[in-house]
Amino acid sequence: MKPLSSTPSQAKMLGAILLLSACFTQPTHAHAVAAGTMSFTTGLSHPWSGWDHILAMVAVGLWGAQLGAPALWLLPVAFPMLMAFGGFLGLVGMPLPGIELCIASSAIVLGVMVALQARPPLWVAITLCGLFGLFHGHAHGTELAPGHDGLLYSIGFVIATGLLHATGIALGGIHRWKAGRLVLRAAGAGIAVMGCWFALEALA
Amino acid sequence: MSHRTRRAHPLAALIAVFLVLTQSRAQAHLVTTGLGPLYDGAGHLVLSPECWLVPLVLGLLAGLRGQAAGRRAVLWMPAAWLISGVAGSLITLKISFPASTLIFLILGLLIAMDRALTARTVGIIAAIVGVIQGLLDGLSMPWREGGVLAVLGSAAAAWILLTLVTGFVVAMQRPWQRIVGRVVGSWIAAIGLLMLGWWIKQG
Repeated sequence: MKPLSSTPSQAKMLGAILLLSACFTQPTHAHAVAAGTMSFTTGLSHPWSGWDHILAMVAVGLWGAQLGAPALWLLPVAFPMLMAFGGFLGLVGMPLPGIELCIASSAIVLGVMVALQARPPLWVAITLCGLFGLFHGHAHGTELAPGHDGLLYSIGFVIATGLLHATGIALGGIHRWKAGRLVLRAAGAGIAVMGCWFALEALA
Repeated sequence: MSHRTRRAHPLAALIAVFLVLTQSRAQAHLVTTGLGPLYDGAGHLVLSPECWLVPLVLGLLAGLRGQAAGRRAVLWMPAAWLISGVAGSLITLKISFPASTLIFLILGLLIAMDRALTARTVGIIAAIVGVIQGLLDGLSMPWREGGVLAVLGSAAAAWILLTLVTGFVVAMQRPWQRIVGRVVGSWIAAIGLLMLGWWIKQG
Protein backbone atom coordinates (compact mmCIF):
# COMPACT_ATOMS: atom_id res chain seq x y z
CA MET A 1 0.00 0.00 0.00
CA LYS A 2 1.29 3.47 -0.84
CA PRO A 3 2.00 5.77 2.13
CA LEU A 4 -0.78 8.20 2.88
CA SER A 5 -0.20 11.68 1.60
CA SER A 6 -2.29 14.80 1.59
CA THR A 7 -4.00 15.12 -1.79
CA PRO A 8 -6.31 17.86 -3.04
CA SER A 9 -9.32 15.49 -2.73
CA GLN A 10 -8.43 14.71 0.88
CA ALA A 11 -7.99 18.39 1.65
CA LYS A 12 -11.45 19.02 0.17
CA MET A 13 -12.91 16.20 2.24
CA LEU A 14 -11.30 17.59 5.40
CA GLY A 15 -12.74 21.00 4.57
CA ALA A 16 -16.17 19.44 4.10
CA ILE A 17 -15.91 17.72 7.50
CA LEU A 18 -14.92 20.98 9.19
CA LEU A 19 -17.80 22.79 7.45
CA LEU A 20 -20.22 20.05 8.50
CA SER A 21 -18.93 20.31 12.05
CA ALA A 22 -19.43 24.09 12.03
CA CYS A 23 -22.95 23.75 10.60
CA PHE A 24 -24.08 21.36 13.29
CA THR A 25 -22.42 23.10 16.21
CA GLN A 26 -25.00 23.79 18.87
CA PRO A 27 -25.10 26.37 21.68
CA THR A 28 -23.05 25.43 24.72
CA HIS A 29 -25.02 24.18 27.69
CA ALA A 30 -23.29 23.68 31.00
CA HIS A 31 -24.97 20.37 31.77
CA ALA A 32 -27.46 18.76 29.41
CA VAL A 33 -25.52 18.57 26.14
CA ALA A 34 -22.40 17.30 27.88
CA ALA A 35 -24.33 14.15 28.83
CA GLY A 36 -23.99 12.62 25.36
CA THR A 37 -20.24 13.09 25.15
CA MET A 38 -19.90 12.09 28.80
CA SER A 39 -21.78 8.86 28.14
CA PHE A 40 -19.52 7.97 25.23
CA THR A 41 -16.30 8.75 27.10
CA THR A 42 -17.55 6.98 30.25
CA GLY A 43 -18.31 3.87 28.20
CA LEU A 44 -14.96 4.19 26.43
CA SER A 45 -13.02 4.47 29.68
CA HIS A 46 -14.91 1.81 31.66
CA PRO A 47 -13.06 -1.29 30.37
CA TRP A 48 -9.78 0.51 31.22
CA SER A 49 -10.88 1.05 34.82
CA GLY A 50 -9.06 -1.97 36.29
CA TRP A 51 -5.97 -4.01 35.49
CA ASP A 52 -7.91 -7.27 35.93
CA HIS A 53 -10.14 -6.29 33.01
CA ILE A 54 -7.32 -4.88 30.86
CA LEU A 55 -5.00 -7.88 31.24
CA ALA A 56 -7.74 -10.44 30.55
CA MET A 57 -8.88 -8.67 27.39
CA VAL A 58 -5.33 -8.20 26.10
CA ALA A 59 -4.65 -11.87 26.90
CA VAL A 60 -7.59 -12.86 24.67
CA GLY A 61 -5.90 -11.01 21.79
CA LEU A 62 -2.48 -12.54 22.58
CA TRP A 63 -3.92 -16.05 22.68
CA GLY A 64 -5.82 -15.45 19.45
CA ALA A 65 -2.57 -14.32 17.79
CA GLN A 66 -0.83 -17.50 18.98
CA LEU A 67 -3.64 -19.75 17.75
CA GLY A 68 -3.92 -18.01 14.38
CA ALA A 69 -7.00 -17.97 12.10
CA PRO A 70 -9.88 -18.54 12.69
CA ALA A 71 -9.35 -18.23 16.47
CA LEU A 72 -7.58 -14.93 15.83
CA TRP A 73 -10.91 -13.27 15.12
CA LEU A 74 -13.39 -15.73 16.68
CA LEU A 75 -12.08 -15.18 20.22
CA PRO A 76 -12.39 -11.37 20.02
CA VAL A 77 -15.93 -11.88 18.66
CA ALA A 78 -17.00 -14.36 21.36
CA PHE A 79 -15.63 -12.31 24.24
CA PRO A 80 -17.52 -9.01 23.56
CA MET A 81 -20.72 -10.88 22.63
CA LEU A 82 -20.79 -12.84 25.88
CA MET A 83 -19.54 -9.79 27.75
CA ALA A 84 -22.53 -7.84 26.44
CA PHE A 85 -24.78 -10.69 27.56
CA GLY A 86 -23.15 -10.54 30.99
CA GLY A 87 -23.69 -6.77 30.99
CA PHE A 88 -27.33 -7.40 30.09
CA LEU A 89 -27.71 -9.79 33.06
CA GLY A 90 -26.03 -7.25 35.33
CA LEU A 91 -28.29 -4.45 34.11
CA VAL A 92 -31.50 -6.43 34.64
CA GLY A 93 -30.30 -7.41 38.12
CA MET A 94 -29.69 -11.13 37.63
CA PRO A 95 -26.90 -12.16 40.01
CA LEU A 96 -23.93 -14.36 39.13
CA PRO A 97 -21.85 -16.07 41.85
CA GLY A 98 -18.15 -15.35 42.51
CA ILE A 99 -17.78 -12.50 40.03
CA GLU A 100 -14.47 -11.08 41.33
CA LEU A 101 -12.92 -14.53 41.69
CA CYS A 102 -13.95 -15.50 38.14
CA ILE A 103 -12.50 -12.24 36.78
CA ALA A 104 -9.23 -12.95 38.57
CA SER A 105 -9.34 -16.55 37.30
CA SER A 106 -9.74 -15.27 33.74
CA ALA A 107 -6.35 -13.53 33.97
CA ILE A 108 -4.80 -16.68 35.49
CA VAL A 109 -6.26 -19.13 32.96
CA LEU A 110 -5.77 -16.96 29.87
CA GLY A 111 -2.25 -16.06 31.05
CA VAL A 112 -1.40 -19.75 31.51
CA MET A 113 -2.82 -20.54 28.05
CA VAL A 114 -0.55 -17.90 26.50
CA ALA A 115 2.44 -19.02 28.58
CA LEU A 116 2.00 -22.67 27.57
CA GLN A 117 1.07 -21.80 23.97
CA ALA A 118 -1.92 -24.09 24.57
CA ARG A 119 -3.79 -25.28 21.48
CA PRO A 120 -7.09 -26.76 22.67
CA PRO A 121 -9.94 -27.46 20.19
CA LEU A 122 -11.45 -24.23 18.85
CA TRP A 123 -14.75 -24.70 20.66
CA VAL A 124 -12.93 -25.06 24.00
CA ALA A 125 -11.04 -21.79 23.42
CA ILE A 126 -14.23 -19.97 22.40
CA THR A 127 -16.21 -21.35 25.36
CA LEU A 128 -13.45 -20.37 27.77
CA CYS A 129 -13.19 -16.81 26.45
CA GLY A 130 -16.98 -16.46 26.26
CA LEU A 131 -17.42 -17.67 29.83
CA PHE A 132 -14.88 -15.20 31.16
CA GLY A 133 -16.43 -12.45 29.03
CA LEU A 134 -19.76 -13.16 30.73
CA PHE A 135 -18.33 -12.41 34.18
CA HIS A 136 -16.41 -9.32 33.03
CA GLY A 137 -19.58 -7.98 31.40
CA HIS A 138 -21.68 -8.67 34.48
CA ALA A 139 -19.27 -6.64 36.63
CA HIS A 140 -19.49 -3.73 34.20
CA GLY A 141 -23.28 -3.98 33.98
CA THR A 142 -23.82 -3.81 37.73
CA GLU A 143 -21.34 -0.93 38.18
CA LEU A 144 -23.10 1.25 35.61
CA ALA A 145 -24.03 4.68 36.95
CA PRO A 146 -27.51 6.02 36.07
CA GLY A 147 -28.05 9.18 34.04
CA HIS A 148 -26.07 8.21 30.94
CA ASP A 149 -27.21 7.80 27.36
CA GLY A 150 -27.47 4.02 26.91
CA LEU A 151 -26.55 3.92 23.23
CA LEU A 152 -23.50 6.19 23.40
CA TYR A 153 -22.28 4.47 26.55
CA SER A 154 -22.64 1.05 24.86
CA ILE A 155 -20.83 2.23 21.71
CA GLY A 156 -17.91 3.54 23.78
CA PHE A 157 -17.83 0.42 25.93
CA VAL A 158 -17.79 -2.03 23.01
CA ILE A 159 -15.22 0.01 21.03
CA ALA A 160 -12.89 0.10 24.06
CA THR A 161 -13.20 -3.67 24.52
CA GLY A 162 -12.45 -4.23 20.84
CA LEU A 163 -9.42 -1.92 21.04
CA LEU A 164 -8.04 -3.90 23.99
CA HIS A 165 -8.39 -7.13 22.00
CA ALA A 166 -6.80 -5.44 18.99
CA THR A 167 -3.90 -4.33 21.20
CA GLY A 168 -3.41 -7.96 22.25
CA ILE A 169 -3.55 -9.16 18.63
CA ALA A 170 -1.08 -6.47 17.53
CA LEU A 171 1.34 -7.33 20.36
CA GLY A 172 0.84 -11.01 19.54
CA GLY A 173 2.23 -10.30 16.07
CA ILE A 174 5.72 -10.91 17.51
CA HIS A 175 4.72 -14.58 17.61
CA ARG A 176 6.21 -15.05 14.14
CA TRP A 177 9.78 -14.64 15.51
CA LYS A 178 11.45 -17.12 17.84
CA ALA A 179 12.46 -14.44 20.34
CA GLY A 180 8.99 -12.97 20.06
CA ARG A 181 7.40 -16.29 20.99
CA LEU A 182 9.51 -16.37 24.16
CA VAL A 183 8.55 -12.80 25.04
CA LEU A 184 4.90 -13.67 24.45
CA ARG A 185 5.07 -16.71 26.73
CA ALA A 186 6.78 -14.61 29.40
CA ALA A 187 4.01 -12.01 29.06
CA GLY A 188 1.44 -14.79 29.52
CA ALA A 189 3.22 -15.93 32.67
CA GLY A 190 3.24 -12.35 33.92
CA ILE A 191 -0.51 -12.04 33.31
CA ALA A 192 -1.10 -15.30 35.21
CA VAL A 193 0.95 -14.04 38.17
CA MET A 194 -1.03 -10.80 38.18
CA GLY A 195 -4.20 -12.91 38.08
CA CYS A 196 -3.05 -14.73 41.24
CA TRP A 197 -2.62 -11.34 42.91
CA PHE A 198 -6.14 -10.32 41.88
CA ALA A 199 -7.48 -13.65 43.21
CA LEU A 200 -5.80 -13.07 46.58
CA GLU A 201 -7.32 -9.58 46.72
CA ALA A 202 -10.76 -11.03 45.87
CA LEU A 203 -10.49 -13.63 48.61
CA ALA A 204 -9.14 -11.20 51.22
CA MET B 1 -8.71 -2.43 -5.68
CA SER B 2 -7.70 1.01 -6.94
CA HIS B 3 -5.45 3.42 -5.05
CA ARG B 4 -8.37 5.79 -4.85
CA THR B 5 -10.45 3.19 -2.97
CA ARG B 6 -7.52 2.37 -0.71
CA ARG B 7 -7.19 6.03 0.22
CA ALA B 8 -10.89 6.18 0.95
CA HIS B 9 -10.68 3.56 3.72
CA PRO B 10 -8.82 5.59 6.39
CA LEU B 11 -10.81 8.63 5.36
CA ALA B 12 -14.12 6.80 5.83
CA ALA B 13 -12.91 5.55 9.22
CA LEU B 14 -12.01 9.12 10.16
CA ILE B 15 -15.49 10.32 9.21
CA ALA B 16 -17.09 7.48 11.20
CA VAL B 17 -15.01 8.33 14.30
CA PHE B 18 -15.85 12.00 13.82
CA LEU B 19 -19.57 11.24 13.66
CA VAL B 20 -19.43 9.12 16.81
CA LEU B 21 -17.40 11.61 18.82
CA THR B 22 -19.49 14.63 17.92
CA GLN B 23 -22.88 13.21 18.87
CA SER B 24 -24.96 14.89 21.48
CA ARG B 25 -27.75 13.10 23.33
CA ALA B 26 -30.38 11.51 21.08
CA GLN B 27 -33.27 13.89 20.68
CA ALA B 28 -36.94 12.97 20.64
CA HIS B 29 -37.84 16.28 19.02
CA LEU B 30 -36.75 17.76 15.74
CA VAL B 31 -33.38 19.50 15.53
CA THR B 32 -33.75 23.12 14.43
CA THR B 33 -31.15 23.96 11.80
CA GLY B 34 -32.78 27.22 10.70
CA LEU B 35 -32.84 25.95 7.13
CA GLY B 36 -36.39 24.62 7.08
CA PRO B 37 -38.05 21.29 7.88
CA LEU B 38 -36.31 19.35 5.09
CA TYR B 39 -32.89 20.06 6.57
CA ASP B 40 -34.26 19.74 10.10
CA GLY B 41 -35.21 16.16 9.23
CA ALA B 42 -31.78 15.45 7.74
CA GLY B 43 -30.15 17.05 10.78
CA HIS B 44 -32.28 14.92 13.08
CA LEU B 45 -30.92 11.77 11.44
CA VAL B 46 -27.30 12.92 11.41
CA LEU B 47 -27.38 14.01 15.07
CA SER B 48 -29.22 10.98 16.48
CA PRO B 49 -26.96 7.91 16.76
CA GLU B 50 -29.92 5.51 17.00
CA CYS B 51 -31.09 6.88 13.63
CA TRP B 52 -27.86 6.96 11.61
CA LEU B 53 -26.66 3.65 13.01
CA VAL B 54 -29.62 1.89 11.39
CA PRO B 55 -28.69 2.61 7.72
CA LEU B 56 -25.07 1.99 8.65
CA VAL B 57 -25.84 -1.50 10.01
CA LEU B 58 -28.17 -2.32 7.13
CA GLY B 59 -25.54 -1.14 4.64
CA LEU B 60 -23.01 -3.45 6.27
CA LEU B 61 -25.39 -6.42 6.06
CA ALA B 62 -26.46 -5.72 2.48
CA GLY B 63 -22.94 -4.92 1.29
CA LEU B 64 -21.54 -8.17 2.67
CA ARG B 65 -24.24 -10.08 0.76
CA GLY B 66 -23.17 -8.59 -2.57
CA GLN B 67 -24.27 -6.15 -5.24
CA ALA B 68 -27.77 -7.53 -5.88
CA ALA B 69 -28.64 -7.46 -2.17
CA GLY B 70 -27.13 -3.99 -1.89
CA ARG B 71 -29.28 -2.67 -4.73
CA ARG B 72 -32.46 -4.03 -3.15
CA ALA B 73 -31.60 -2.54 0.24
CA VAL B 74 -30.80 0.85 -1.29
CA LEU B 75 -34.19 0.79 -3.04
CA TRP B 76 -36.46 -0.64 -0.35
CA MET B 77 -35.22 0.86 2.90
CA PRO B 78 -35.59 4.58 1.97
CA ALA B 79 -38.93 3.95 0.20
CA ALA B 80 -40.35 2.14 3.24
CA TRP B 81 -38.83 4.78 5.56
CA LEU B 82 -40.50 7.59 3.60
CA ILE B 83 -43.96 5.98 3.36
CA SER B 84 -43.96 4.83 6.97
CA GLY B 85 -42.55 8.16 8.12
CA VAL B 86 -45.29 10.15 6.38
CA ALA B 87 -47.90 7.83 7.92
CA GLY B 88 -46.26 8.29 11.32
CA SER B 89 -46.33 12.08 11.04
CA LEU B 90 -50.09 11.93 10.47
CA ILE B 91 -50.92 9.88 13.57
CA THR B 92 -50.30 10.23 17.29
CA LEU B 93 -48.89 7.18 18.94
CA LYS B 94 -46.62 6.63 21.93
CA ILE B 95 -44.05 3.87 21.45
CA SER B 96 -41.84 3.32 24.48
CA PHE B 97 -40.14 0.16 23.25
CA PRO B 98 -36.72 0.93 21.74
CA ALA B 99 -37.17 -0.86 18.41
CA SER B 100 -33.70 0.27 17.28
CA THR B 101 -32.10 -2.01 19.87
CA LEU B 102 -33.76 -5.05 18.31
CA ILE B 103 -32.64 -3.91 14.85
CA PHE B 104 -29.03 -3.65 16.09
CA LEU B 105 -29.24 -7.00 17.86
CA ILE B 106 -30.79 -8.99 15.00
CA LEU B 107 -28.88 -7.39 12.11
CA GLY B 108 -25.63 -7.48 14.12
CA LEU B 109 -26.06 -11.21 14.72
CA LEU B 110 -26.86 -11.84 11.04
CA ILE B 111 -23.69 -9.98 10.05
CA ALA B 112 -21.51 -11.73 12.64
CA MET B 113 -22.80 -15.18 11.66
CA ASP B 114 -22.35 -14.36 7.95
CA ARG B 115 -25.72 -15.90 7.13
CA ALA B 116 -26.14 -16.61 3.41
CA LEU B 117 -29.21 -14.42 2.86
CA THR B 118 -30.63 -14.06 -0.63
CA ALA B 119 -31.00 -10.64 -2.22
CA ARG B 120 -34.77 -10.99 -1.85
CA THR B 121 -34.48 -11.65 1.91
CA VAL B 122 -32.15 -8.67 2.32
CA GLY B 123 -34.71 -6.54 0.45
CA ILE B 124 -37.48 -7.69 2.81
CA ILE B 125 -35.29 -6.99 5.86
CA ALA B 126 -34.49 -3.54 4.44
CA ALA B 127 -38.20 -2.80 3.97
CA ILE B 128 -39.04 -3.92 7.53
CA VAL B 129 -36.21 -1.83 8.96
CA GLY B 130 -37.37 1.14 6.88
CA VAL B 131 -40.97 0.78 8.10
CA ILE B 132 -39.92 0.62 11.77
CA GLN B 133 -37.39 3.43 11.67
CA GLY B 134 -39.55 5.61 9.43
CA LEU B 135 -42.50 5.22 11.79
CA LEU B 136 -40.37 6.17 14.80
CA ASP B 137 -39.07 9.17 12.88
CA GLY B 138 -42.52 10.22 11.65
CA LEU B 139 -44.05 10.04 15.11
CA SER B 140 -41.55 12.64 16.34
CA MET B 141 -42.31 14.92 13.37
CA PRO B 142 -46.01 15.98 13.35
CA TRP B 143 -47.29 17.05 9.93
CA ARG B 144 -48.54 20.36 11.34
CA GLU B 145 -44.92 21.33 12.04
CA GLY B 146 -43.72 20.46 8.53
CA GLY B 147 -43.33 16.81 9.45
CA VAL B 148 -43.77 15.46 5.92
CA LEU B 149 -40.86 17.53 4.60
CA ALA B 150 -38.82 16.61 7.66
CA VAL B 151 -39.48 12.92 7.04
CA LEU B 152 -38.40 13.44 3.42
CA GLY B 153 -35.18 15.03 4.71
CA SER B 154 -34.44 12.21 7.12
CA ALA B 155 -35.29 9.51 4.54
CA ALA B 156 -33.02 11.22 2.00
CA ALA B 157 -30.18 11.43 4.54
CA ALA B 158 -30.71 7.76 5.42
CA TRP B 159 -30.66 6.85 1.72
CA ILE B 160 -27.38 8.73 1.15
CA LEU B 161 -25.76 7.10 4.18
CA LEU B 162 -27.04 3.65 3.21
CA THR B 163 -25.81 4.02 -0.38
CA LEU B 164 -22.34 5.17 0.74
CA VAL B 165 -21.94 2.36 3.30
CA THR B 166 -23.33 -0.34 0.99
CA GLY B 167 -21.05 0.72 -1.86
CA PHE B 168 -18.09 0.86 0.49
CA VAL B 169 -18.77 -2.63 1.89
CA VAL B 170 -19.48 -4.20 -1.52
CA ALA B 171 -15.99 -3.04 -2.55
CA MET B 172 -14.50 -4.97 0.39
CA GLN B 173 -13.49 -8.16 -1.43
CA ARG B 174 -10.47 -9.36 0.53
CA PRO B 175 -11.15 -12.07 3.14
CA TRP B 176 -9.72 -10.05 6.03
CA GLN B 177 -11.94 -7.10 5.09
CA ARG B 178 -15.02 -9.31 5.29
CA ILE B 179 -13.82 -10.59 8.67
CA VAL B 180 -13.51 -7.00 9.91
CA GLY B 181 -17.10 -6.47 8.73
CA ARG B 182 -18.26 -9.51 10.69
CA VAL B 183 -16.38 -8.39 13.81
CA VAL B 184 -18.08 -4.99 13.55
CA GLY B 185 -21.39 -6.87 13.24
CA SER B 186 -20.69 -8.68 16.52
CA TRP B 187 -19.95 -5.34 18.16
CA ILE B 188 -23.25 -3.95 16.88
CA ALA B 189 -25.12 -6.97 18.28
CA ALA B 190 -23.33 -6.43 21.60
CA ILE B 191 -24.42 -2.77 21.57
CA GLY B 192 -28.03 -3.86 20.93
CA LEU B 193 -27.91 -6.34 23.80
CA LEU B 194 -26.49 -3.77 26.22
CA MET B 195 -29.12 -1.23 25.14
CA LEU B 196 -31.86 -3.79 25.76
CA GLY B 197 -30.56 -4.35 29.28
CA TRP B 198 -30.31 -0.60 29.76
CA TRP B 199 -33.93 -0.15 28.66
CA ILE B 200 -35.15 -2.87 31.05
CA LYS B 201 -33.15 -1.29 33.88
CA GLN B 202 -34.70 2.12 33.20
CA GLY B 203 -38.14 0.48 33.52
